[in-house]
Amino acid sequence: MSERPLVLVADDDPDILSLVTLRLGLDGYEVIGAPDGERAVEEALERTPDLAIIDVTMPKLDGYEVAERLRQHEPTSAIPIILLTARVQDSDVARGIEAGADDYVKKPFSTADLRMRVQAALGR
Amino acid sequence: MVLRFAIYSAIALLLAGAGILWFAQHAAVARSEREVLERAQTTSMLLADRFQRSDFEGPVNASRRAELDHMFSHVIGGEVVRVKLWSEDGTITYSNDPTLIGDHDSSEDLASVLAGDAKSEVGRLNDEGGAGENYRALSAYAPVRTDGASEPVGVLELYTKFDEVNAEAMATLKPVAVALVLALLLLYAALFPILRQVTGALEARTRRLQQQSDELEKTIAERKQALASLREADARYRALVEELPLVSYVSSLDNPGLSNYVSPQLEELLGYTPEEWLATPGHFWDAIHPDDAERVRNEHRIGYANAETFSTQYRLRAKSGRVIWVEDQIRVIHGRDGQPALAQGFLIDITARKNSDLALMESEARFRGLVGNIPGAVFRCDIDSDWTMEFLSDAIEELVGYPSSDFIDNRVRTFASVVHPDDRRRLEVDVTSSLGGGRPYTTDYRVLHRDGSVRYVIERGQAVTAADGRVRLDGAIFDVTDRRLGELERLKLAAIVESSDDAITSADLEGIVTSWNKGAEQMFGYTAEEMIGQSGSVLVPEEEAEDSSMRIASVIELGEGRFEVTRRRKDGTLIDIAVTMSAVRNSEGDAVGVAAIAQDITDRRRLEQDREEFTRELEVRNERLLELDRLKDEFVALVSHELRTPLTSIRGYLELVLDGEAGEVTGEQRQFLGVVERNANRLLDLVGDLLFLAQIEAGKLSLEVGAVDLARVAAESVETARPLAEEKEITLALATSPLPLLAGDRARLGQLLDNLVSNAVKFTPQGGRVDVRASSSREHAVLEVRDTGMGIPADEQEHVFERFFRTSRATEQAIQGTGLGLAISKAIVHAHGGRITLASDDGEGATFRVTIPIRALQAAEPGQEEIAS
Repeated sequence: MSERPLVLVADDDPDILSLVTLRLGLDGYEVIGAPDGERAVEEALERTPDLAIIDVTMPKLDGYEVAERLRQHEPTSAIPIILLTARVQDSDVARGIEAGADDYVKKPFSTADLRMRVQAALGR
Repeated sequence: MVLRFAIYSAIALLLAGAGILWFAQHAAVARSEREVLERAQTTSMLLADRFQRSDFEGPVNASRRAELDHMFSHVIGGEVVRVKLWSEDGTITYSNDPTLIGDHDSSEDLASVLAGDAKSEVGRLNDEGGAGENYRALSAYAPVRTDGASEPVGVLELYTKFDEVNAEAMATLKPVAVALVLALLLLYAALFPILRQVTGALEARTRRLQQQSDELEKTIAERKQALASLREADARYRALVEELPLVSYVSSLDNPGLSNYVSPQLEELLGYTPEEWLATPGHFWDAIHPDDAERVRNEHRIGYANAETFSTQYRLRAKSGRVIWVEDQIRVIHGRDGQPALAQGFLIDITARKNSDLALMESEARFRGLVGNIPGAVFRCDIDSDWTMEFLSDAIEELVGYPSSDFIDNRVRTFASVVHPDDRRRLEVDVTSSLGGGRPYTTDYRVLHRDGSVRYVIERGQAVTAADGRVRLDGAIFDVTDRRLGELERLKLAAIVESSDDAITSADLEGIVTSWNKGAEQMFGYTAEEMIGQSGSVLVPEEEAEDSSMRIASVIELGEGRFEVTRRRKDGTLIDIAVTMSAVRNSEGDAVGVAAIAQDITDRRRLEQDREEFTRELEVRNERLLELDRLKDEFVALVSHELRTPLTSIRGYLELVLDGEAGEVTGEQRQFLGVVERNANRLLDLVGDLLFLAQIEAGKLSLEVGAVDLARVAAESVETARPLAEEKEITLALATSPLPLLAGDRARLGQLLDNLVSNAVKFTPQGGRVDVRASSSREHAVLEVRDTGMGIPADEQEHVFERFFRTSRATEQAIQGTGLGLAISKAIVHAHGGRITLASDDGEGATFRVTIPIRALQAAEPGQEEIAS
């Protein structure tokens, strides 16, 4: 892939959203930011990103629902999805996997950790 | 005899032989006649169609005679010597002897032949006329039918020479007759010796009979003589006995009872003359009293068989109807052969004696009957310490189990011995104290029955002075055991009823109170005096009145019932009672009232109500707690999210800055940002700890079990704590012996060790020492963290594992901490099935010791294990 990989990031916390966007941008990814679940789904269907990083706790559509919707639509059905969450219960992890997530990053996370997971998800 | 028999039998034999011969002859004649007749009939039939009707209407003419001669020429000759044809009216129409033609004989025989009977006869050939030799002949008649006519037209008669035919028959019969005669002779020859023997035996018998007959005649003669002498003696005897003042008699044994002779004195005794008496056979059995008849009959039978003399007494009814008692003295007279032959006896009038005896017996029986009927023992006794009995009725046996005879004159036992020992003295006092005034006395005491039981008796008596001047006691003893026991039982029940705290009451069918115990007085406030005779309805509140009467009705119907009801006390207050009612029935089983046992359940009711209220309150509180718990979980989730998200930003941007992404960072800036990062991490740890505890409390702590090298975990923790230790110049030493891998959650065990080691470093002053030791026994991994800090006061040691607990020194010295570390440590150790202990002497440092079982966890399945905190 010669072009920069396109990563969709959705988080209702603008600080986190810009932190992740900044970090991934610095690392050479093209990043689309979405402030809520609905926008995330719209952007994903429109742009078909190579990876989606979705916060679980969001207004309108939460991260699980976003993941489910992406899996239901052909263009986005196979893209890797990493869920971001502050929830720590095992049941939360299980629910995320069920919804179609590939990986799970617990808040607080270090940007270095996130970077590694993104690389892993994109197969680099 | 033999000769006579031989002659007789020979004659009989000859007669039999002659008979047989005669019979043979006779049979031969009969057979000849039959043969001739058959021949005549055959001839008649054979020649039927050759006869003409005219042959039988009148004498035939010459030509016809020639034809017939010719026709019969085949027949005539041999045995047949003459032929005749007869007309119906008895005229001979043709014969081979022409002299006979035209003769007439209207005999009856001819008519019967014509009517169908064949006939034959023996006679002389020329009996009915004719020429030629007149020898014996057999003639046979046969009816002749011509031209198939159904009625005969005439008769054909054939004559046959009798001797020839007879000789032929005799020739066949004679040998048979001779054989029979010979057989008879042989039979006689065979039987003769036997017959002779029989005859001999009969002759011997006859001789013997003759002899016996002679002997009998002789005996009869002797008897007659004996009888004559007996009669003579009898006459003499009678003359004698008829003078005696008693009735004498003679009876034959097969007809006992004055049956042969009775002396004239009978008339004086019974009013019958001997003639009258003897005239009726069996008069004795008519006269004897029916109550005595059977007995006397038996006595006779036994006496005759076994005794020479015996006597009996019985009653006889005199002619006047008066009953006479007699004594009958009987002598059995034996005959010459030694067998009993006659009974000879005397009757003596004993009526006067008997009557006085009976009167005495009757009086005694009456007395005994009277005494026996008294429902108690009647006595007469001496007034002594034994109560020596002169008389004691049989009823005593029922009371004490010993017969009355035991006590008479103290033969076997004294009466005093059956009186209950505790009552003996009282009995003496009661009796003697009444003696003075000659008053009757009544006393009660107990007697000992032979079977070991005790009977209650009442004795009533009086001192009497007998004819001989002695003073005795006359009295009677009555058994009152049942009454007395009943009384005791009633007293016992009454005592129970009175002492009961429950209200025990009864009422009749109208509800009028009939009993009211102390319990009832206390429960309802009314005294027994107030309630007995009053209606129980005063207790029933108006609104329950209807229910109350229905309950009583149901109790009477069903027998019993249990209810919880409200009643009004005398003071007007209401009480709740549980009442058990049962129907009271009389001996016929009819209900006559109800009995009730009531308990005050007001307190119980109140307690029940309180309890229900409390339960409700608890339920509400519980719901509220559940709600709070839910809120807490939500809160924790919120906190974790809301705290972590900003912390993520803080750390993320710090990293960006420190990485130089926002431009060059000066040393001082880096130092300041380091403080920010450290505090952010602290905050993060706190949040982590809080969440961890929340998880434990929710029972949701889970272990990710894997193989853990505890020595390595310890080494990492030591390294983590080393920067701080070096800062405080604390010697941090690690000593491990080779440890087996154990099954556990590596992250949690790391957390445990971090807590313990960092605590030790924190609480150890500058220049102190912290030793971390990891070892293992056979079954356990053992971790020890020992510090040289200020130690933990004894009274605080038991609290150090509680969450948020901080020791007084930690607070005093402002050592940072949340008070969660040890609580978390303890939960982790417990989740691994181990123990954590603290040993500390105040001021001498502290040692935390953790033991974790190796085997138990090795055996456990790897994977997630939910462990409740």
